[in-house]
Amino acid sequence: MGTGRQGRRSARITSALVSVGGLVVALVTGAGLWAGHEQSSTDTTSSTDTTSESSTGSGSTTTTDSTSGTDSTSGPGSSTTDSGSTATEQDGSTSDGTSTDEGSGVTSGTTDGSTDATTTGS
Amino acid sequence: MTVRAATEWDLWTTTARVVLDHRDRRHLAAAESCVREVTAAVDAACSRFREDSELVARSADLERGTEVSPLLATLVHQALDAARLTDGDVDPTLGNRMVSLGYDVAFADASPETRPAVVADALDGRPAWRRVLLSGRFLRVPTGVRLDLGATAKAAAADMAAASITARLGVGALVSLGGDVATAGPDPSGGWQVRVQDLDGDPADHVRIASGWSVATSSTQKRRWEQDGHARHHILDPRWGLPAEAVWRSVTVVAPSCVTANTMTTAAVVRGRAAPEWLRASGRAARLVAADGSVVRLGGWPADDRQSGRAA
Repeated sequence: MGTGRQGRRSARITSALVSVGGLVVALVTGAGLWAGHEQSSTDTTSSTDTTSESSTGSGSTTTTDSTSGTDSTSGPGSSTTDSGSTATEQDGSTSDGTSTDEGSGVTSGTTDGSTDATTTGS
Repeated sequence: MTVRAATEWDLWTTTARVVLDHRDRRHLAAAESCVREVTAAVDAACSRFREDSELVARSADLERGTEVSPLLATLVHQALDAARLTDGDVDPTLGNRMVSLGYDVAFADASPETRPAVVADALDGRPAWRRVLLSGRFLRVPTGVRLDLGATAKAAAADMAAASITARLGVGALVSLGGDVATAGPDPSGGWQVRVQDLDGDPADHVRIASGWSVATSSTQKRRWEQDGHARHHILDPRWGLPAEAVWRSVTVVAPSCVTANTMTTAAVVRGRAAPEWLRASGRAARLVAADGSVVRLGGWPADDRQSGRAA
């Protein structure tokens, strides 16, 4: 009797273990396939470099440089697409709001009085 | 406010200044070394004030024609290009014109000169700068002519120094040599900010110079003196050998190289009232301050919409 009952319990346990195991295998395999698919099709990178600095007594500045890019590859021998973006200037305005003229090499300076050099006649 | 790492020192009776973005501040000492090396090399090649400079020490050889160092050949090439660009308004032989006149007077009482090169020079009516022969590194200077590369050589030194910093250290840099400002490499945070003002009290502009561009200013207010009741300044009109009419207090030009910017500002002062038309045709951004203090902005120079209140 004991043996028979133990045999029935063992069968149920075995059945349950098989079911759970199958589920685990399916999940792991599915996740692996998905991860592999993602890795083979898309590689996304992004980086952000943020620096905040303060100069004693004369003001402060915050500089943020951000870049992001996406590289897509569709298997060996297939086409590759690279796309990237950086901090952009649109409508002729720089990030600090000054006007630009890319062809002349000169734009309006900042309004905070910062000066790196002075050009004078010599 | 932008934060920078900067250092400056006395050089050529003016001031040398090198500026890096604050994030590159660890390279400041090396950047200063780059500027000092470049300026020392330029000085050794073409200074008129050193007996041991290549230009002075080899002056006798240069009359006959000789191979010169690559750096001196480059500096002469740039000076002759400046003369060509301006039809002789920026003349590397002009500094010796009066000396040459004095030499000619002495020469009239001397024994006849029979050296073919000297005779050929005497028969050649072209301006002296057109008679300078530079072929590769072979340089021949007409008899009685000594080159004065001062203006273009200082600007060239600024160009080379900025480029040297970027090439060696991989960082953006601004180099100013007596107001000749050159930039190279990546933009710093906020961009290179340059104040444009000749003398205290003159109208001032505050502009941002794109990296890789340069700015220079020529002035009729510096190095002035009185002669027979006439105000003189140091920029001579090669047609007359006299100071150019001071139509403009100062002229500033932005160009891809400091040599070009300096060449155009000098020529603009010489050309006087014709300068705006010439500068406009060149397409370069320029700013001219007239004798009465009024300001003319050309070629994309930003309007004075916000800076007027900051003018000193």
